[in-house]
Amino acid sequence: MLDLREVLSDFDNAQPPEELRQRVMRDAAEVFATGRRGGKSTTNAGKRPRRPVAWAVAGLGAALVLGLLVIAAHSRDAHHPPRPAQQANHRPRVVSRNGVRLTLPSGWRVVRPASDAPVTDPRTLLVAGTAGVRPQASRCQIGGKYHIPADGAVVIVIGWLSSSAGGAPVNPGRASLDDLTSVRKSTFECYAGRGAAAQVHLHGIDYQVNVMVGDRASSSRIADALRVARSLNSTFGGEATVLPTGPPPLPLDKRLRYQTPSGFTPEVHLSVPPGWYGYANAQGFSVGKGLRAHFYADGQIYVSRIDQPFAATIKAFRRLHGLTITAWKPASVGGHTGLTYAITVPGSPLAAFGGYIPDGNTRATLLDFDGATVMINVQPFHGQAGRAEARRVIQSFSFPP
Amino acid sequence: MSNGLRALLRPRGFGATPTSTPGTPSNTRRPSPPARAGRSPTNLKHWVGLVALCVVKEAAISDVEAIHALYTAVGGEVWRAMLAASGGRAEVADEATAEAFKRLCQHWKSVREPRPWLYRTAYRLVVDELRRSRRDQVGEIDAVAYPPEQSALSVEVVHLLRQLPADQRLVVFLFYYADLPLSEIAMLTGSTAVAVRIRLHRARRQLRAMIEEASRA
Repeated sequence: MLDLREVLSDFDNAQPPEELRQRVMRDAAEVFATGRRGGKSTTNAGKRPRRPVAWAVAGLGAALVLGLLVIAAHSRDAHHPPRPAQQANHRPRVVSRNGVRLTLPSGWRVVRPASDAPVTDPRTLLVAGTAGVRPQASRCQIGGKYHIPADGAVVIVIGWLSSSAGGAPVNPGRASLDDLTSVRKSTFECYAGRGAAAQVHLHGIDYQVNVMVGDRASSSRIADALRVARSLNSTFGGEATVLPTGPPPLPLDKRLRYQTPSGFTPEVHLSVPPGWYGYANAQGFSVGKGLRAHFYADGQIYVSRIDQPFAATIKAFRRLHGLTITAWKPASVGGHTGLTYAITVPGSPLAAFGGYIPDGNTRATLLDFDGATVMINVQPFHGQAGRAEARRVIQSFSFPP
Repeated sequence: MSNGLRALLRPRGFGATPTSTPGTPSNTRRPSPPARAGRSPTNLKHWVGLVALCVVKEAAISDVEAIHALYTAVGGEVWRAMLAASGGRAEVADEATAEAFKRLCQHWKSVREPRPWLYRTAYRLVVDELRRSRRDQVGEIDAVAYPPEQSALSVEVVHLLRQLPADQRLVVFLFYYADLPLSEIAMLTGSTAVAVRIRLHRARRQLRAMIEEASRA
């Protein structure tokens, strides 16, 4: 006789992966940060029933808005140019991940890459697509597989990080992107529809950009997709200089792009304004404004790595004695999401996570790095200009793959 | 405290108070399942965890923290249920669970009961994915493209689950593994207790036929 309870006890050993928790938290931080809520639900399960009065008010409101729209449409000249506000909504935006960037038109968004496992090189660096594009499970070796709606399109950037792309050597520069002018069938092994691809070599790395369009994609959609692919560029503006070893901090050059020393993971690239100093050691690195008595004259930004998963770090951070969290909000730095805490540390200085938090107000951003956490501790900058410079420095952070 | 967390703290299945005996649903007609060796009463642990969470976070719990708490409390059970519903395909369970949580964030203010909402949304995503896989690939998708050896479960369990359709896999899992009463399974799957009973009956009949066939062979 089959004992189902006994057989199903096998589920005791099945645990959801840690990556799933991290992804859920990343998504939550992203959704709550961007305020993308209240869209159409796919299910009514557990939803609060609307009251008849609410329905009536909503119906009247909708009818009023519809009426106004119809009147506005009739009263306007058909060739009237769009207003600046409307144009602003359709402004292309630049997205960057893992050292590459793309320029996306309106209606396009960054898509979560399909898993590259077990392939480690090349890796999928950035995926952008129209609404409805999503990764699919597959056994595709390179680039993964995506569900593409019939009228949709997707652009996938992959990079050979420790080797070169197979076949003929790729010429440096972005010239080959100009060949992306049309799509044709059977371009890809894992996608039967129309597509196009090009390889480029930028700052020592071979990249391939793949374009895939749905079966009923319009010509304007295809043109958009090809334009997105042609916009591919590297976010690294040349060779970076390693931060000097310290302390004390040494003067930094505003014209240079700096990077953390070899062995410090994750590798961080950054730029600083004039008059800034900095140093790095095994625990992390710091940059700050001005120098007085071997230390920064104004505030500083201290970055350190914590070898604990993001969720565990957050939990531990919130339990630290002597530290009061006054506010917090979701944050995103260099494509990695996390949380920024405004904290006060009354009394004596507190060593937290290997860092140093002085008496008074400070700000700590904890970023999720797939199994590890990076803490960016911003100690107070005096004056508006210093705070704006600190913001710009943090915005310049990138984390090469 | 957010509505979602408050709803989560409602007693589930085993009586109105947290002092009820774990694993003995008060509103079910079937006899209490025998205690399984090596398994702790997960329902009680779940409850205690949530109460502790409530006490700790009573002052001011934010949306992201509430999602974190929710995932800690029910993420594992939703994932396992989707693993069962998908016939042991972990990547489908991962995707469905993550997407369900993301959609929950997007509808956070309007969702009154997050747990059933998550179950139903994730289950529909699993069914969509299975349907899509079947459409995209020719042949026996489960056996060829997703061999049982790659599953997070043993080959025997995957083989057993794949004898059943997805809806029956889910109710079998919730009834026999999660020890939930029919009424709660109905609530989680957006069905009725009678329909759940019928699905269980059909699943048992199907499995019995499979075993008899195997013994004849």
